[in-house]
Amino acid sequence: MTVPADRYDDYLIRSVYKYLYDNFASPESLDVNFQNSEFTSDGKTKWVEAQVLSLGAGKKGSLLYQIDIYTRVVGETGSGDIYGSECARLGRVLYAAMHVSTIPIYEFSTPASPTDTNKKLMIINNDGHFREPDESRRWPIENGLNRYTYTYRLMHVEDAAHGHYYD
Amino acid sequence: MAYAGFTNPGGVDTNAYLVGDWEEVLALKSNVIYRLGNCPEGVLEISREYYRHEDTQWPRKVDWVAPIRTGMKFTGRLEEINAQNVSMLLGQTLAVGAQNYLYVGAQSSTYYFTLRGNRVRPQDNLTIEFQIHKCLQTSLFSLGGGDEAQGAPLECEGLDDAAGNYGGSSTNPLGWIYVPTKS
Repeated sequence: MTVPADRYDDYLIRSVYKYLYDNFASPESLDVNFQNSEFTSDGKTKWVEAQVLSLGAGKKGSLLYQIDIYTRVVGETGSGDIYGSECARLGRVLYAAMHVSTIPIYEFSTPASPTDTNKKLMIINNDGHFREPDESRRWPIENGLNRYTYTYRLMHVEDAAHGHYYD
Repeated sequence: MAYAGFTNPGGVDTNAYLVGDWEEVLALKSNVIYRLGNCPEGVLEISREYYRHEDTQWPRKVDWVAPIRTGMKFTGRLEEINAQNVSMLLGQTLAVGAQNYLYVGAQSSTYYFTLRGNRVRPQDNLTIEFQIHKCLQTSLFSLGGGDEAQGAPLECEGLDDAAGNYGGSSTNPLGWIYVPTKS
């Protein structure tokens, strides 16, 4: 049998990334590193790292998506985010951008022109609260970096149904 | 040998999956809206009871039914403890500026109102709504303790409004529920 495009793992991941980029990273001019071990943050004063912790959406589970916001405590010229207030502000902007019940699932067969599948991923945490992260954390300063982490849990709406089969 | 009609195991209208709670509950009286605030654990119940008649052949089987009772009820918990909500929960009145001293125990007239509720399907953002035309608030009033918001139970029971005093009619005496078309 074929799996429909709205349940492809890579399309689901890219749909979250696209939403994150369009609504948070791009307006804030942030670099977003997506699970790339080659990424270098040298010289950058603020950036976002995103990684997938669990790939259960579309398989009767949930997609756990961790977003880390980094700012440098002291920048190259000596100025920087000394008190972590810029990192906190970016955290607020991220929270506001992700404060939605659902995000659309796109299909990326033509990567430069994704098309809406008209299916949605729900943002719903482990306690059943829509729009809220599963976990949010401010880390102690380490390696001269401020860091906030927000972990979101996303479910395909058909994951919530109790039947054993998808559409 | 399989019936040819079995072609689609699982979901057929996945827009219709409903996740979440009743989001907004309103009480209305004389066209004035009274917002009740957060109402978690909301459940809408529409009940139908049938008398079952059994035939005289052994073993006996149900051979005809007659509808004998129908009801419409909404239960939940009101988390905002203020004079408007408590006055309504005690069955006294609906008033934004309800008096702060609410006296209990005396004989008083029965207070009816209309109840409306709304929720959204996450897949397509279409709403599901209900209205119970003529409600009586019948639950016990209780306030407990704990580290979560302590609400009081809400139980609104629909009465016959065939006379149309609260928006009902002879063909629509209890209320209605609005549900989107199958996609």
